[in-house]
Amino acid sequence: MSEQGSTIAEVLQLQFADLERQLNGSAGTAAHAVRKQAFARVKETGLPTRKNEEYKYLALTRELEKAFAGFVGNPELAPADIGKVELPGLKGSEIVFVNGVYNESLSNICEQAGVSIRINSLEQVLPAGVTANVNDTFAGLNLALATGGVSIEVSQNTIATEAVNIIHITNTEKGRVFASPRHRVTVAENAQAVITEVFIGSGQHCSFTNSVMETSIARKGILHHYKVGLDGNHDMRVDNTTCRQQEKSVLHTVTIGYGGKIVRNNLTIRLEGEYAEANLDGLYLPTAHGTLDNHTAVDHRVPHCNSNELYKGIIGSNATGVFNGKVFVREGAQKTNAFQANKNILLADTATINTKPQLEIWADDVKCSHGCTTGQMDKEQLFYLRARGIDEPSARKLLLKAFAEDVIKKIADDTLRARVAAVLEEKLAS
Amino acid sequence: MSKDDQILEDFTAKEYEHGWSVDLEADQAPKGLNEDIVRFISAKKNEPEWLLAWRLKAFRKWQEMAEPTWPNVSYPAIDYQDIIYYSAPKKQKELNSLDEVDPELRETFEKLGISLEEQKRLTGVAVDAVIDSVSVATTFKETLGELGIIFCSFSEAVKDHPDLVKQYLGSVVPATDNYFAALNSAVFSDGSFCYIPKGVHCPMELSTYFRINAANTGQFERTLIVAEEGAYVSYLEGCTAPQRDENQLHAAVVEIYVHKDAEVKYSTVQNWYPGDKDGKGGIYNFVTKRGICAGDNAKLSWTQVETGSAVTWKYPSCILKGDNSIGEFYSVAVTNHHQQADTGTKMIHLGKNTKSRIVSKGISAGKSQNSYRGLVDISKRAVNARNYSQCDSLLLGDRCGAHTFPYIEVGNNTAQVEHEATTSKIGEDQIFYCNQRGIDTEAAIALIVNGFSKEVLNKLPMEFAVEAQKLLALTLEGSVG
Repeated sequence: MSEQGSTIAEVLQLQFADLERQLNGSAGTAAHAVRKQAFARVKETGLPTRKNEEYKYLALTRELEKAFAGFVGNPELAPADIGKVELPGLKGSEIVFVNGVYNESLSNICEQAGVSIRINSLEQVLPAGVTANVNDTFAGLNLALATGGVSIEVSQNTIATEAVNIIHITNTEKGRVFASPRHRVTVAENAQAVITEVFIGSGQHCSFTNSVMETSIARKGILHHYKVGLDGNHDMRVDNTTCRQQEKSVLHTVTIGYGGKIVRNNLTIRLEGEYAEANLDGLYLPTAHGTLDNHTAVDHRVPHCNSNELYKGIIGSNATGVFNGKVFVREGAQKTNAFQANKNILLADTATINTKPQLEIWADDVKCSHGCTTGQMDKEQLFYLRARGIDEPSARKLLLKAFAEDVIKKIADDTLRARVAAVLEEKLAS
Repeated sequence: MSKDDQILEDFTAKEYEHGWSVDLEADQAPKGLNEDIVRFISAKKNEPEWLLAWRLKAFRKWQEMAEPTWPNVSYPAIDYQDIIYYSAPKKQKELNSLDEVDPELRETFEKLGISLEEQKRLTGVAVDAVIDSVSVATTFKETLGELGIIFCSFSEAVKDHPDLVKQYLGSVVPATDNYFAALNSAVFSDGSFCYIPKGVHCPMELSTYFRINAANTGQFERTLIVAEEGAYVSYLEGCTAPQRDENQLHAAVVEIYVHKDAEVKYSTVQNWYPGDKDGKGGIYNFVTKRGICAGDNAKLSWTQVETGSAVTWKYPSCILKGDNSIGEFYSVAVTNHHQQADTGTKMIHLGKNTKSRIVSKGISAGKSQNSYRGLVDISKRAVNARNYSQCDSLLLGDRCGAHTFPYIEVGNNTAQVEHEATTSKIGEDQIFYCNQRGIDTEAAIALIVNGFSKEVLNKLPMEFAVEAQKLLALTLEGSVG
C-alpha cells in the first residue's frame, strides 16, 4: 500500500478500496451492494462539520482530518503486544476485538442452548433494512467499512444465564488505528439477555473507532445493555446504538463514559409495540481536554409506552460535556409517559457543558417532562460534611460518588457495577 | 358527536374576529426590491446620507444571505419581488389635536376598542399610532417632553435627533445580523423611537399600536429604545390586523439599549391575522428583538402574548453585559388551526452575577405546531450567573404539536442553570373537579388555561392584562382537551 490520502475523504476512499480488494469471493453479493450504496451516501454528504445541527458541539471531523492525514492502515500487532492487555474480568462470555479484529485467544465463549453467538458473520450483521439511525453519516460509514462483529440471537423463551461481554481493545502503541466494529443483538419473544460492551484504549497514537450496535427486542423480551467507555486520551470514537422494541418489551440501557479525546454516543430507541418500556441512563466524566457527547433519541410511535431517561455528567477542568436528548411522540401515540432528566456538575471554571433536552410532541394525551440542571457542588452539603469532621477532598469525593451512584446503581450486573464504581473512585481521586 | 367534540369543533372552526379592511389612500412604492427601492424609501423620508448608506450596506449584505431554514416551521417560499416595500397614508398637515386625525383611521381604532380619546382620557397612555408604517398621531408628547423623554416616530427621530439615532441604530441588532434583520435594515419604513434621559422614571406606559393596512404591504417596523443611566420605562406594543387572503410578510426589528441602573420593560400582545381555518392567508411574523443590559445593575424584561400570525419566528433576547444585570422573558404563545410558532428567547450572560429567568407557556390547538426554542449561554467570564427556565406546553386536541428545543451552553462552573419543561393536556380530573362544583367544561377550561398562563399574564401592565385575558378567553373558548 503505497497510496496515501491527505484528506480524511481520500483516506476513507482508500480504506474502502482496500476493503473491496479483500472481498474476493463475496464481491458482488448483496452485502457488497449495501456497502457500496452506503459509501456512496457518505461521499455525497461528507462527514458532519459543526454546521451540522447534530454535530454543533463536536469538532470531530476537524480532529479526524488532523489525526488521519496520510493514514494507510492499522499497524500489525505481535501477540506479545496484545498479551499485555488487561481485561476487565467480567462474568460470562468475553468476546475480544483488538483494533477491530476478533482475537480468539483472548476470548472465551460460554455455550448455552438457545443463545447463538456468531463471530465475523458479516452477512448477518450487515443489514437487511434494519438501521434505525441511517441518517447519521458515521452509521453509514460503518456500514460501508465494517470489518467484523458479533451476532447474538437469543431464541424464544430463553433466558441467557451468562452475560455476553464484547470487549474492544484499541492499542495504538505501534501506530494509528481505525476500526469499524458492527454488532447485532436479537432478543426473541419472552427471551432475556444481558449484553455489555467495553471500550478500552491505550497507546500514544490516535485512534478512531466507529462502532454500531443494532438491537431488537421482540414481544415481552427483556434486554439489559451496558456500554462502558474506558477510552484512552488519544482515542476518538463514535458509537451508534439502536434498539427497536416490540410490544411489552423492556430495555435497560446504561451508557458510561470515562474518557477519550472525543467520544460520541448516539442512542436511538424506537418503540414500535404498545406497552413497551425503555430505560436509558448515562454517566459521563470527560477527561481534561476531552469531549464526551451523548445524543439520545426516543421515538414513541405507538400508544401506551413509557420511557425514563437520566443522564448525569461530572465535568472537570478543560473538559467538555454534551447532552442532547430527543423525545418524539408521534401522532396517535397517546397515553405516552416520557420522562427525561439531565444533571451536570461543573468542577472547574474551564469546564463546559452544552445541553439540549428536546421534546417534539404530536399527541395530546401524554405526560412528558424534562428537567435539566447545571451547577457546582452544593456548598451547604459540603459544609454539612465538613462540620462533621470530614476533610474537604473526602467530602467532595463523597458527594460526587453519591451524584454518580444514581446512574451506577441501575447496572444490575454486580461484577460490572463494582468495576464501574471502582473506576469512578480512581477518576475522582485524580 | 359528544358535547366535548362539539365544543372542540366550534372552537377550531372559529374565524378571526378582528377581520376587516379600511380603505385608506396609500402612497406606494412599486412592487419589488432593488437598490432603487431602497433609495426611493430613503428619499421619500428625506433621510440623511449616512442612513441611506447604512440601508444600502444592509441591502447588499442581504442579497448574499440565505433565508434561514432551521426554524421548525414550513411555509411556501416568499417572493421578495412580489412585495410592496413602502406604503404611507396620505400625508396630513401637522396635527394639533385628535380631531385632525383621518376619521376613517379613528374608526379603525374604535372598532378595535382602543379609541385614542379613551386611551388618552382613561388610561393615561401616550399612544403613537402606526398605520401602515407611518406615524400619524402622537399624544402626550408635551407631558413627556417636560421630562426630556423623547417618544416619536422613527423618521421624526432621524430628523430631530440624528446624533442619538446614529449612535444607537444597529448597536444591538447589527444591520447584517440575520436575513430578516438585514431586510428590515434595508427597507424599514418607520417605527418608534424612545429615549429616556438619565435618572428619569417615565410616569406612564408608552404604547404603540401597530396595524397592517394596505393590501400587499410588507410591514417593516423598526423600534429603538434607549434608557440612560437610572432611567425606567415600560413600553407596550400591541397589534391586530385585518383579514386578508395573501400572506403578508412582517419583519420587524426592536433594539433596546439599557444603561447602568436602568430598567426597561417591553410588553407585546400580538394578534395578527392567523389565516383561516384551512391555513390560507395569515401574517408571516419574522421578528428580531434584542436588548442589551450594557451597564451594571441594568434590567430588561420581555413579556409577550402571542395569539396571531400564521407563522411566527421570534426570539426576544437579552445580552447581559453589565455586572448584576437581569434579563427576563415571559411568554404565552397560543396557536390554533394551521398556525405555526417557533418562538423563545436567548439569554447571553457575559457579566458577573447576572440573572435570567425564562417562563414560557405554549398552548396548541387544532392542527397547529408550537415550538419553544431558547438559548441560555453562560460565558467563561460570567461568574455566579443564574438562570431558571421553565417551559410548559398544553395540548388541546390530538392533531397539534408541541416542541421544545432548549439550548444550554455553560462555560463557567459557578453558574447555576436550571431548566424544566412539561407537556400535557388538561387533566380530566381537573375538569371533573370543576364540573363537580357546578362549573361547566367550557368555563373550567378557561379557568385552567388562565391559571396555566397566570405567571405570564401577571407580568403584563394593567392596561394590557385586560386585553390579553380577553384574547386568551376568546381564543380558547370552547376548547376541550
